[in-house]
Amino acid sequence: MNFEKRSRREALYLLGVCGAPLLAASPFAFFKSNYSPLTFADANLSNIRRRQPEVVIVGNSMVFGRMDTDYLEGLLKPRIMMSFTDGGSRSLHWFLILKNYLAAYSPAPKLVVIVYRDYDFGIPNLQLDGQYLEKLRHVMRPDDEERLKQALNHENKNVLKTWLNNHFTATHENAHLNQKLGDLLYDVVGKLGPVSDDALQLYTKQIFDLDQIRADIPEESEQSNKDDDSDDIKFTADSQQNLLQDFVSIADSKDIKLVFYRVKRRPSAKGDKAQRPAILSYTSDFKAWAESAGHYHIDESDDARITLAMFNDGDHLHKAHFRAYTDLFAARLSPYLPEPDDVKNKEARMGKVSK
Amino acid sequence: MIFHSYDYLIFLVTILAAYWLLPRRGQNILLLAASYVFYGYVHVWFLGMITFTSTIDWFTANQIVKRPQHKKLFLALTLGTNFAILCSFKYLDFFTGGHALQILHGIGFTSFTAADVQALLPVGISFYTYQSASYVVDVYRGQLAPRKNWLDYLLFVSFFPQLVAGPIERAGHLLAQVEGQRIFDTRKARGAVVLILWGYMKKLAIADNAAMTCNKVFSLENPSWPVLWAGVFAFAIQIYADFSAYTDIARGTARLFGFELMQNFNHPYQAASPGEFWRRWHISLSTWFRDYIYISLGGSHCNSARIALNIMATFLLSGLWHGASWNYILWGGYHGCLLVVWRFWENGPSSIRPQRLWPWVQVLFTFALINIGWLMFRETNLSMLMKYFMLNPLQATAADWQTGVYLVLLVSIYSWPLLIHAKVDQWLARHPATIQQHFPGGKWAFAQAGLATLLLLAIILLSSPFSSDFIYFQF
Repeated sequence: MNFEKRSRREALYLLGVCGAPLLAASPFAFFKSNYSPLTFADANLSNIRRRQPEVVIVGNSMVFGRMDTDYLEGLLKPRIMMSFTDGGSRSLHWFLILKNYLAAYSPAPKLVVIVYRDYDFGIPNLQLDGQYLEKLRHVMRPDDEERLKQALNHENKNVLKTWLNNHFTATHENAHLNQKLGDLLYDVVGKLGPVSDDALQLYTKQIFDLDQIRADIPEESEQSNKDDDSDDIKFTADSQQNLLQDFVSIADSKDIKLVFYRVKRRPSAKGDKAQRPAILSYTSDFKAWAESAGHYHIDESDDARITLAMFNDGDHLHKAHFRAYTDLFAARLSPYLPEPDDVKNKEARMGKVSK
Repeated sequence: MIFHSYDYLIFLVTILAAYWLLPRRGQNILLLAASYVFYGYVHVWFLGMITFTSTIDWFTANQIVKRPQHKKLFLALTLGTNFAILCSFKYLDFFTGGHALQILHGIGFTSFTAADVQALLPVGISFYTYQSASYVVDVYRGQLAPRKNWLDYLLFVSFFPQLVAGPIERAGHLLAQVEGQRIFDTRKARGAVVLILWGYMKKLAIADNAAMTCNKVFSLENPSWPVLWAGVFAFAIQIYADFSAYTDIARGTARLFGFELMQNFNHPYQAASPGEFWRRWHISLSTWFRDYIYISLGGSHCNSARIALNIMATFLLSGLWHGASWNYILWGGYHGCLLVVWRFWENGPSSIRPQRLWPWVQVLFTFALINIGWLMFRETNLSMLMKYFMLNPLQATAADWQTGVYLVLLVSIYSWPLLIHAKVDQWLARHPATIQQHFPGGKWAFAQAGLATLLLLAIILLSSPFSSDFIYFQF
C-alpha cells in the first residue's frame, strides 16, 4: 500500500543497481580458488635440519624485545636452542611454526616454549592482516588456508570484512595491491630528491622503527591488545574458538613438550597493580588445561623483580636489562628443560619419531 | 549495533521488509522498536537514558505552550536536565580534574574501574541530547508546535540510522517526516544503495588507509616537521572520509525507509575561508550552534567586540561538545580565533582582503589553516602538542622531506575519489538540471549500476587491512 506505482522496468533497474556490483565482483571469488601466493620460507627448515635444536623459543617482540637470545643459548647449553620470533606475530603464526617447521622435521625439538601475553591464545584473529599476513604466508602450507580463514573470521561481526576475508584477503589481493602502490610511490618519490627509492624505503623503516615509538602510546602491533582491560574473555580450548587443541595435537604427535609462557606486562607508574580477577581466572584455567594435557604453563606476571624501570616502550625492556631478564627467564624454565641429547639418544629419538 | 556487522545486516533487511508492509502508524511503532533494539543492543540501560531525556523534552515542550507564563521555567528545567545528564556522563571526569572514579567510589560504587567509567558514557548521547533540546527551544521560540504523540517524538529522537553519530536533525525536518506518509520509491532506493556503498568505500578504502599513516606518525616520539604534517594531512583525510562515510550510510539507510536526512558535509576542503569551512563541515552541528548558541548570544547584531566574543564562546562550546579534553577546547578556540581574524581581514582595506587572492590559493590557504586545527584535535597530549609546534622545518633532512612527500602521496592515492566527487558536484552546480535530465531515460539507472559496481570493486581491492570504529562514535 505504500509503494509508488512504477513500471516493472523501474523494479528491474533497482535490481540491476543491487545485482551488477555483485556480478562484477564474482570473478574475484574464482581467483580465490586458483590463486595461492604462498611463499614458504624453506630456509627455516634447512636451519633446523642443520642445528637440530632441542629447545625452541617461539614468540614475537616479547622475546627479542626483552631478552638476549644468544645469551640464553649459552645458559641452556649443552642443549641446542633456537628461536623463531617475528614482530607482532600471534597464535596462528606460532602454530604454523610448530606445525610446518618444528614438527615437520625429525628429530623434533623436545621442548617448545611459546612466549605470549595475556589473551594471545584466546583471540586467534590478532595480527592477521597487512604485513602480518605477508609474514604468515612465509610459514603457511596450502592446507593452512582454511585455518587462516577460520582465524580471520573469529567472532567477526563485520559482514563486509568477513566477505572480503573469505574471498579476497585470504588470497592477499588487496594487501598485495596496497604494497604495490607503496612500492610505486617509493620509486616516484625516490626520483624527486637526492635520496634514492631504496634508501628512502630504508629510512622510512627506521623512522617508524619500534625504538621511535612514544612511551605513552603502545606499539601499533600492540593496539589490538589495548582493550584487554575491558574485553575479558573466558578460557576455552575449544577448537572452534582457538588453536590450543591443535597446538597440543601436533606437539603430541612428535613427543614435543610445550611451555606456554605468559610474560609480565608493563606495570603502571604506581608500580604493580593487582591483576583483574578475569585474567587471573583465565590464566589459572589455561594452566590447569595445559597440565592436564601433559604440557606446562609458566606465568611470570607476579614477579616483583621485573620492575617498571626495566621497561622501555610498551611491554619491551631496555636493552640494558635484557640479560637480567634472560637470567630470570632461564631460571624459571630450568625445571622443564629436557636432558641434553647425546648422540645415542638423538638417534633413538630420530628412530622413534620416524616410526 | 554497528553498521558493518552481521547482526545489523540481518536486522536491517528484516525491519525493511516488514516496514513496507505496514500502515504508517505500524511503521512508526516498528521503527521505534527497531531503534530501541539497535540502541539497547549493547547496554540495555542506555534505553532508560534516552527515554528519560526524550520524555522530559516532550513533556516540557507541551507545558511551555499550555502554561506560557511559566515557559522560562520549563525551558530551564528541560535544558538543565538534558545538560546535567550530558555533563554527568561525558564531562564528570574532566570537570573534577580526573577524579570521577574517586567520586563514584565515594558515593558507594566501589567496584567501578576506570574502564567502567568509560563504558558508562552512552554512545551518541551528545547527538541525541542536542537534537531533542533543539525541539524544546524551537517550541519555546514559537517556531514549532508541540507534538501530542509521545511515540512519534520518541522515534524522532531515536531514529536508528542517525542516532549514534548524526546528522543532528531538527524537529521541523525529521519529526515532520515521522508524522507524514512515506512511499517506497524505487528511484530513491537506487540512489540509497549507491550512497551506502559510497559510504562504505569512503570508510574502508579511504579513511582506514589514511588512518594507518596517521596512526603511525602520531605514535612517533620525535617526528620531523615534514613527517608530522604528512600525518596531519592523513588525519584530515581520515576524519572527513570517516565521518562523512557514516553520514552517507545513515542517509542512504534512512532513504530506504522513505526518510530524507539533512546533508552534513558539502566538500569542506573546497572552502575558501574558515567561515565557509564551517558552512560545509558537520553542517548539522555547526547550524545547531549557530541557531541555538551564537544567535542566542546576540549573533552578528552587536558591536565588533561582542561579535568576536560570541564567536569565541560558540566555538569554545563546540570544541567542548567533541570531548572532555583540553585539546578539543583549544581546537574550538583556534577556530573561533580564525573566524574573528578572518572577519576583520575581510572587512579590512580592500587591497589586502583575502578575496583578492586567486580562488585556488584561498582554498589551499584555508586547508592549511584547517590542518593546524586538526593537529590540535588529533593530539590529546598537550606537551606533545607544544613539542610539535616547536618543530623547525629547516632542521628536516632531504630524506625527511621525501618521506613526508611519500606519506602525503600514499594518502592522496586513496583519496582522489573525494576530489572527483567534489569536482562532479561543482560541475552539476554550474549546470543546474537534475541528474536525471543529464542522464535521460534508463541511462541514469545504468550509470548508477556502473557506479555501484566501481564502488564495490574499490572496496574489495583497496580496503585497508586495518579497520577501526567510526571516529565520531566517541563523541
